[in-house]
Amino acid sequence: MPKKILLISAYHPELLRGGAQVVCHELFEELHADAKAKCYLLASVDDSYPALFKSGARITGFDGRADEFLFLSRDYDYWWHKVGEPLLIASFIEFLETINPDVVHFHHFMTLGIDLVTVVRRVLPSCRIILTFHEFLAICAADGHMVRRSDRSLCSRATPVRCHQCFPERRPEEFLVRKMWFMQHLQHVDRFTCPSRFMIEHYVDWGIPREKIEHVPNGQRRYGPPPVDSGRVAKRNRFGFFGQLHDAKGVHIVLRAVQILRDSGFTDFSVDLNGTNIHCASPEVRQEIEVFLAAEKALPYNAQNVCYNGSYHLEQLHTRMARVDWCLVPSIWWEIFGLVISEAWMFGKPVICSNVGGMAERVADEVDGLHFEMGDARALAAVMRRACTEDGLWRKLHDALPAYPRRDVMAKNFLRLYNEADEEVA
Amino acid sequence: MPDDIDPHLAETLAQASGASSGNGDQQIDPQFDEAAYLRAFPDVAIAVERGDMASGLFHYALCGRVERRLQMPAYLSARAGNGTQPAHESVGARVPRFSIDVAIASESGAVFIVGWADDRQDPLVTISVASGHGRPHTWTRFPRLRRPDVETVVQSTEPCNHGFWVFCNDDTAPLRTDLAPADTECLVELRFESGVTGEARQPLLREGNGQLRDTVMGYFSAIGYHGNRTVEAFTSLDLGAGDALIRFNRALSDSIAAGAATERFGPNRKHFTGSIIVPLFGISEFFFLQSCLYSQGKGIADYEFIYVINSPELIELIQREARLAEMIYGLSQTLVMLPDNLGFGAANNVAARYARSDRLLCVNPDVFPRVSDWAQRHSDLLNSMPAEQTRFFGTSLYYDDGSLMHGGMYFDMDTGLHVTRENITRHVMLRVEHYGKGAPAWADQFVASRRVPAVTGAFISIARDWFEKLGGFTQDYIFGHYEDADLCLKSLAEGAPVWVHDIPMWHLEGKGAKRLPPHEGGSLLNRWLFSRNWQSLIVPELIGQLPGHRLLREAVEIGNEVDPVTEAPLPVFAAKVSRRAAAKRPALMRVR
Repeated sequence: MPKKILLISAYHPELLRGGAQVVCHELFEELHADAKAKCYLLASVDDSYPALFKSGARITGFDGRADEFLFLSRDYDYWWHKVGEPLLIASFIEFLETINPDVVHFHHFMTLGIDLVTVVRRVLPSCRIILTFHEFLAICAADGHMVRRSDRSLCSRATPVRCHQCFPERRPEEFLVRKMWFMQHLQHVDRFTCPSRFMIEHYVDWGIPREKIEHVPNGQRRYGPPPVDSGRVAKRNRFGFFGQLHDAKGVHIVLRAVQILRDSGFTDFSVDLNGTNIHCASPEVRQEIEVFLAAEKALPYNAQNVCYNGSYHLEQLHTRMARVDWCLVPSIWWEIFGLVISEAWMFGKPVICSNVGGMAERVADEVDGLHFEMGDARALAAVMRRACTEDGLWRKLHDALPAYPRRDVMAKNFLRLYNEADEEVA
Repeated sequence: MPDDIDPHLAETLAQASGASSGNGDQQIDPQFDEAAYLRAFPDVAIAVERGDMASGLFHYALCGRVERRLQMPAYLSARAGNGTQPAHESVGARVPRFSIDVAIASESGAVFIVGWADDRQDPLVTISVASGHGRPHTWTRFPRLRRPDVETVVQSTEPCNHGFWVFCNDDTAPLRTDLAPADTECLVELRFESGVTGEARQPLLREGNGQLRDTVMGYFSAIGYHGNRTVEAFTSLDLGAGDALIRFNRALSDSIAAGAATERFGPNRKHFTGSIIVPLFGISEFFFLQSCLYSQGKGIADYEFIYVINSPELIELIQREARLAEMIYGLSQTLVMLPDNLGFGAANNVAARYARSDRLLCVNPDVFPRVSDWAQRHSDLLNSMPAEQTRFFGTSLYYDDGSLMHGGMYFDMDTGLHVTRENITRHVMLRVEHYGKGAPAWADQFVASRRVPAVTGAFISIARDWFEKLGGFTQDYIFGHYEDADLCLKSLAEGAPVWVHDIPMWHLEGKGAKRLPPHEGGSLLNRWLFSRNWQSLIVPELIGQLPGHRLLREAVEIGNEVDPVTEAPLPVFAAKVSRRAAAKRPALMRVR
């Protein structure tokens, strides 16, 4: 009998782009094609798609796709991360009993509810439960970023008083209870995984037993033909940004660096911005980006350094990547994994990134990429200028690029975790 | 009130306010009435009379709007009575100046009146009120209070309590709710020592019984006095107001309790090891948090939960959460739904009726287990310890920072003086203190099993038959505070002191309920009641950390051990801790 695996995803990448759901769907596609497993996907959707909320339904299929289902999330409490609708839980229980999976693998819990973990344990006592952390939301109420709201500095640990400093309207005691609430549900998880190693230390410090948490890198399929390296010697002065246009991703740091370079008289470079969701940016950052882009558009074409290309589908990625030499990842938070780093490697582009978190862990400074001080536009400007002008730098870093993490390797890693219980029994 | 106002500013402000000064301009703010405003606020009237203010409208535009004066009872009352003569001018010129700020009647006929009189020369001796329904009431003893606004108006230079308030109800139980709102006004008569009287026909505002209780208690919490606030508040209550409020609240509680409805969720058993009773006040989140955090420990299946919902607006939400908890946690939960706030003691008493066990655990909504197997520990304790030690006990409670909140309670007292023209009286005001408050977690002398004068209602474990023998919580206390200590003293008076055993719990003290001004007023009244009821037992035998009461003496008997830091003899309970732990205690934590 093939093992039955239920993957539970916060959102469906077809409906809302985001790293966690992309990775979960990659895993689903890989396992779904594997005859040795029977895989199902349950992805949440919120009221941004009201037409998908069929009358009286709580869980439905999705667009005629085999074994893909939607969890119609409603009445969601974003502080405690729970749904408030009993019928939704009743439907989830019925769904579990119908599928009767051997493994339930949560990719995130937002819009689903952390208490669904307890529901799974209660309904299917012998089921193996895996949970992949895609950021720090269990630890940190500030969007799971572990960035202090007071000064935007990176936060190294959550305590009741430190969290109260980020949320002065909430007393320290509330954060003790918040942690107990999460821990109580997470105790039912058999295995946790993180896509980056540095995350493990944060979760272990927070209280997750080290022996229960493992590093499994996010894997992807190839999104286009591999790059053809002509070996030509050319200017390497084209930079690309790929991702969400909101504060944490740091696109505004790129724009500031561009201005600094221009002010210094250096203009022989270009920056392509690829992405969307600017509505998720703070009003200040949104205004900064929009004002910059409007001013850029007003310049004569040959004086423009920055080009905004809008959003893209994964199938378009190889053409977007073909237009750049370097991939910029200027995130101003820990950046858990950075799928865009994998995508840059997929298309042979060295990465220039902030020197923290998942970025620093994955990109080796001066070996296969370049680091700059997180949030420092001057430092980024200096690195960009060096990237444009230093002979042989691009070639050296390009030739040392690692292979991108493949999804079949990721699937094998997870299958090993799914089967651990069987091995223990054997 | 600001000085040196630019006259041009007045006009500007008046225009900005959108109100008129009665000169024919369109009145944009329909609530403003110049005459009523001046009548309601004597401080403004005087300022206008002196020329400090251009008009009442000017004052309103300048600060009255921000102060929400048009919503104040004095204004509403003055406006409702617009067109009648000001009260203080209704009877002869020799009558001292006075005013009735507000008169409120409840649906059952309870009456609450607030006013003031400048009776420095001719003391006010009697207040009478009559309306079309209910009995007329007369008070010869009534609370006096400080009124800074009146002091300004009458230009009083010496401390003087111009204000007064009275409260009465018809002592009918249960409270009637069917009285027709026939009366729109009442007649208030003030008689002064010289024999002169003043009358005021006062608009009678209407409130529900619960509303009126909250109004009175909220008002009581905010009163200012000359002298010690607590002493003066106690003195006020001694004058009959305290007993009247207690009787009214008891009748109200009976009415609320009679309206209780219940619904059970989760596994249904005939008998449990314990019934965990949790009264909820205003905050729903604690329901699902407790459901989660209590549900998964060893031995919890032997316990049922009884939640008393004192906030009717939460009923629908809690019902939904109970359906969720049934599916997610599988707990046995009973909801006792009340049409109004019954208060802590009465809520626990009502819940006890629905218990399906011989053991009641009264637990606050903001108390959470610090160890996952707490239920098993509790059951083991009941099975392994002598009955006298488990009949009634509390436990150790901890702050979120890990320090000890307390391990048992003891009593202390404050004293204060009440000064009148005739004499000076001494008042004893009891208070409850906590053993080891803020102590480091390693200071285990505070959590050692021992007898203590009292334990907190945040966590009480009590044999049901003993609870019933004691008559449950005394329901005279309003809202909450002191009824836990009261229950412990009832037990002590019956010969069974309470114990503390160490089943560590987190307690987010004071965060389990929304705390509003009426609750502060209730706390003050409860302290008065507690002091009156228990002073003779507590003083002096139960005062301090080492009380000399015969039933507690063993617990605090001086033993052979000495404190390694101070070399002072240690009481038995402190001597039980190891020398290492005692040596580590900082000076602040020493038990003396």
